[in-house]
Amino acid sequence: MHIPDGYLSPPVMGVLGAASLAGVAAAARKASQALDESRVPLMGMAGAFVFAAQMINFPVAAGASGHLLGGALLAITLGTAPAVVVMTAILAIQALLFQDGGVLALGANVFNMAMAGVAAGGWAWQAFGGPGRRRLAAFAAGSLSALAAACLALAELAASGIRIPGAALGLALGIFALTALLEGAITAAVAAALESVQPGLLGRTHGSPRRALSGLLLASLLLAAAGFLIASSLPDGLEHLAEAIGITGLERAVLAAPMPDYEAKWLGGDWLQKAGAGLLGLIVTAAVCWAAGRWISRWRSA
Amino acid sequence: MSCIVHARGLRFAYQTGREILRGVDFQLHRGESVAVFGRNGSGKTTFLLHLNGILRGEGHLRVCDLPVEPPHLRQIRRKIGFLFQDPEDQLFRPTILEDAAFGPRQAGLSREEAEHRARRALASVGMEEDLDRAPYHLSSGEKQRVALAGILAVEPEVLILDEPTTHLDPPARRALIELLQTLPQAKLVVTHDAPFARALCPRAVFFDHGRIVADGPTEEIIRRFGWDLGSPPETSPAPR
Amino acid sequence: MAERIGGRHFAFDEWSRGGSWLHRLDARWKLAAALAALLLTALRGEAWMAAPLPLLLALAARLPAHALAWRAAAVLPFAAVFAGMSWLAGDSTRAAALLWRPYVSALWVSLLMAATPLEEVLAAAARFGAPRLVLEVMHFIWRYLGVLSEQAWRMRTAAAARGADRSFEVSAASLAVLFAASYQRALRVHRAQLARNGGGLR
Repeated sequence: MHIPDGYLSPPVMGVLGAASLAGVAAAARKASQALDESRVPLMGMAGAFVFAAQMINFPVAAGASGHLLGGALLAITLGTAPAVVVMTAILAIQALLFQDGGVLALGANVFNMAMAGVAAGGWAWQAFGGPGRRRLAAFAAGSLSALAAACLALAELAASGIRIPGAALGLALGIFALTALLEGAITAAVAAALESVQPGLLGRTHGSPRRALSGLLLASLLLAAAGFLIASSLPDGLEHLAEAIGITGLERAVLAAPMPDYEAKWLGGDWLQKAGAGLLGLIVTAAVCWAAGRWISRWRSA
Repeated sequence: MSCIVHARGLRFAYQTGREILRGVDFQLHRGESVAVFGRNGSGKTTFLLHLNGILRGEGHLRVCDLPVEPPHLRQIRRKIGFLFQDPEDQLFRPTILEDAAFGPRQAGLSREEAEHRARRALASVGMEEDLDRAPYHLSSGEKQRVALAGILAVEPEVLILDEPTTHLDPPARRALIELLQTLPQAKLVVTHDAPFARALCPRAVFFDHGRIVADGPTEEIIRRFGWDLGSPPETSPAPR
Repeated sequence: MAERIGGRHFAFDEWSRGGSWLHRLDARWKLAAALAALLLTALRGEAWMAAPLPLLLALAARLPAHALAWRAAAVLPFAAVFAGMSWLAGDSTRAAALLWRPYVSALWVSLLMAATPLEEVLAAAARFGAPRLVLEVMHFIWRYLGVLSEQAWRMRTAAAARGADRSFEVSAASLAVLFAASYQRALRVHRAQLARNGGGLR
């Protein structure tokens, strides 16, 4: 789901923008080392492939059909860091030249689809993969990647004060689940077909336990987003959530808006201020977990 | 120095062990035009890719009196103009002018000088209009001419063309022959197009299983191996 | 529903090569101005009043304002869903904002891309510190998405002609073939770059 401009509140936009800038810069550095000298043509062609692939329909049922989203397949074939770069490039092209997703909102869309989605896909491929289990791993990669991206997007919209009534929320989550299953199925089918067309295109899997930390991080992020979504549809849910996380005192400080206009328009009520702080807190927590995980695994392997 | 390509005992195998070139001996002289025949998979393109160092094999290979090795590759790649089979793979700059100017820019020329050379090269292939447009809307013949201009802009000594007539209709084929006939560079042309080879190249070589098994007048080679639809081969290449 | 990537998607290529005063402005100014316009649109409630501004600028730059207005409308279906939910909840000001904010933003982006060739926008972004690798990949994607889309379209037509286009497995096989072909093409492009002494795009 590509979020357009003008929907996200400044704190959400700001935090996600910063996280994306840092994440993409890191991925670009890693990708420059990962693939060989032909990486720009390879990555560029993979990106162009994703666009072209959207024209091939996958029949679902009763005349409905879907198409490949791509994050997981990119992670499987190129590796996680290059896939992040390619997805970012795709999203930027979509925002600039297809008006699909906003330009300011790129921070959020990149976070959801190019980082969380790709990371979820890459993680699932590594974690579930192994001899004889590649199809399953590809299915898991596709589903988790699509689900993570969609749930995060919806959570960010809710955190920005976009009203989503409970029934619509349920419907949205239902659609996300179906989309995720379809993406999983497509990714698995294409990965299997690739094995026979040109074996060696799929990355190797180790299924190593080191990945458990990043898996844990992803899971916590997703649970947080899901919990947030559910809480946001209940009248007092977010207040309870904010109190439970222990950041109720923070919202005044964090959300001291530079533009009074913004506060009136975006924060229609007290509970939304807490919501903004809540999401902020969750993202900060997630970032800390990730950094800790990296530090720990580096320390362990030293 | 009249011998600008000198290969002796050139061998190449993939990392999997599959041998593609099994000892190629070949000489190309200044200004010569040579057609390269052979079945698909016989090693023609692989051999050509050695001449500008894209593939590295074993044996003796000198191009324009330089060994085909890293310190000399930049210079060799300017002296060898390689026209790939699909111009789509070769035109990667946003506009026609920029693509033709890419070679000169890489050679260190200023933007103005590079564009000047590019315009001259484009004019020599008959492309003078719409130079600030993207190349994707051109016909295959026009794309090929732009790609050729990009190569000519750095004033090479050898032109290598890999199956240049594959996507061309008869008028475009004729135009290409006429254009190539005006160019003084030595030419190596991989082609299955016998009439094209006849019109352009007095000499031909025939590749078979990674070696050159025949080297002589084009007409003779065509007749011997039946490379023209009208006549059956006098001797047939070894079965695959 | 996936649509064919055809001529209309490359309209920006044509429009951006005009010669008006706007086209000749340095891309860094245009990019910075567009970002500022987007920020104001997102944050100020009165920004809707500036909605005609991108269209007026388009006219002044001899660009087809109606075409830009139509392109920006691509955001409306998605926006209408969320606007509808707000409106049904009784908040009509927010509902309106959820429609005009993305639309006006899309107008500004369309104007930027219609007045500035993509490679200049990418070069400006590089000057502002965007990661080079991402920009190079973007350039490549734009260059080859038409080529690969044509290939995908031909595969789709060929499959349909054989009566096989309603099969999941056939589509998966088509994608695998397309991916492998794209991979091979990437290798060929890399070789063509090497042959002209280019190791990357700059």
